[in-house]
Amino acid sequence: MTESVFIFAGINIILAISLYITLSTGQISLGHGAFMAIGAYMASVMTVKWGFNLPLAIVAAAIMAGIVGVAVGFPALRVKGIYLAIGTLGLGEVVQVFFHNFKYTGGASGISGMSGTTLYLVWFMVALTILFAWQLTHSRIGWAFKAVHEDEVAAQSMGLNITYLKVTAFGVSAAIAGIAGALYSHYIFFIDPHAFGYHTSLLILFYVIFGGAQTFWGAALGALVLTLLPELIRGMQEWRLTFYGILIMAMMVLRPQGLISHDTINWIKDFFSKKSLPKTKATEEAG
Amino acid sequence: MLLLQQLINGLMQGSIYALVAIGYSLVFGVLNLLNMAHGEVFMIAGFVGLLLILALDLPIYLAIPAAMAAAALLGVIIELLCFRPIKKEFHLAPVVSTIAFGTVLVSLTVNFIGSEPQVFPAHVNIGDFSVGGILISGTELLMFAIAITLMVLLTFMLEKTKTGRAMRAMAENEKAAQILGVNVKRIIITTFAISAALAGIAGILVGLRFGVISPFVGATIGLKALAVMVIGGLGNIYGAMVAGLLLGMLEAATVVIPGLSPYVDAVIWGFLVFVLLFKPNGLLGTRVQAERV
Repeated sequence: MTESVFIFAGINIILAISLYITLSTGQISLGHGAFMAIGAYMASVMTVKWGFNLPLAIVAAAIMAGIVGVAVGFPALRVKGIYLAIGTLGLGEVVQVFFHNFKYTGGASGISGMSGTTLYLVWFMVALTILFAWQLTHSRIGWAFKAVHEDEVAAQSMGLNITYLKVTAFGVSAAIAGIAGALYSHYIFFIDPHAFGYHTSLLILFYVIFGGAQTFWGAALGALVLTLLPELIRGMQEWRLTFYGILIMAMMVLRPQGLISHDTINWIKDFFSKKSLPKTKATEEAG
Repeated sequence: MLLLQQLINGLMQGSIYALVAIGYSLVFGVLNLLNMAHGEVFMIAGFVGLLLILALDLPIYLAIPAAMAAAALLGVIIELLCFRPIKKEFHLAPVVSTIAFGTVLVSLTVNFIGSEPQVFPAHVNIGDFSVGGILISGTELLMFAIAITLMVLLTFMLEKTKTGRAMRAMAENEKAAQILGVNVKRIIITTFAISAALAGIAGILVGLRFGVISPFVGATIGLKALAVMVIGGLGNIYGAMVAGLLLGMLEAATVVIPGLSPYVDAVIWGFLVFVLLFKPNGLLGTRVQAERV
């Protein structure tokens, strides 16, 4: 396994956690490739055309993608479920056509000359993203996201501001996808609009669904496993998508909640707490 | 004159969108399931048709039904692999499973046939003719005629036959339909087969019209048809027909407007986003069926 595999694994983990955040409010997106594209293009223009350094470009990519995410979040409030999935798919296509025709970023022939992503930088960003996701899911806003996911009407009647929560989720998620886009474009040196189409959005969804959409650990694990696994099998490259597809189909039948679910996390917690704590009467009664 | 020509072209292109969109709509309307592999069924049928024409030198009037049959079989396979074995409480799972199956179909096609578009032989093309200065392609006219005929037949089937009534009953309420003696399993399989067969004929017709078929056509025309279905209103077959024809013409009109032609691929998607903003259930959609995912 080469360094590049671990770089892509890191970028995919960030993408998967990004999509997890939208999903955690019950909003499905099939257009996350678009946010990645916006981040990738923003960062590339910053470093190649305007001469900024990469860390600043990453911040700008996150802000730009985040702004677009918020802008998408508002209309997304009005649509749900399959309508939202198809709507975001449409957004992805529109963004692709936009970059295809946007001469400043090279149109269909793309933009090149970026560099600077290292393994350390990627995994530093992965660590930050996981820390952020952990903070988010254990905060009031994280619980509110869950409430919206479970029952929107009930959440609203408890005084939660659905508009604020859903738009925030979209914005934050888009910003994180933008960071992944920035890292991606500065690793492969060249981007064109085709790199961020429907298939990219699908792969991100596959990572999350495979790993489990109930916790961000699931999303991260899904991205890690699905990036590393094909590398372990020699000559897998061209069969990668076939392999992913069959794996996901089997998963939906055998374990639709993905590799890691709430139950898994609780089981792990119980396992360790039982091992580490001496059994007292109190813990036995509680357990 | 140019506009009229474009509108006629658009109408014919739109008939394909409508045909594929009806397939999405039929499955969604009757079973409340979204089959995201529908575009890939369309693509596979195109390749089956081409293969039969090339390998067996089959005439077109035999290749079309053969491609339809192959597509129908694929539809049944999708039902058996992606819908039947999945537990009902996971609403997202069947959608994801069909997305995955679509990916498998594309990557298998790419690995076995290659990612380049494959050319339909010239001898199956039908000549063009002109009426009052307007050029009409024979293939397009055939495509349009077949699409309209199938739409009429499907409407008749849904309104008048026993199977059609059972389908509509299931669309209203699956449990009630079952209690009233509808053989649910048979109707589900039939729905998938009909839906896929419609995609099948569309696939081979598009292959004939453009002279090529690409493994990625499901991700272009197939997904646009999905947008058409949503614009028409989820599960509303008449909505899919109207929206398909309308959007075909809208696309064709965009091409002749200066400055807008590079954005033709975004027209349908832009229109979709626009429609969803003002009518979140589509143009003809009434019931909120999308709540579940």
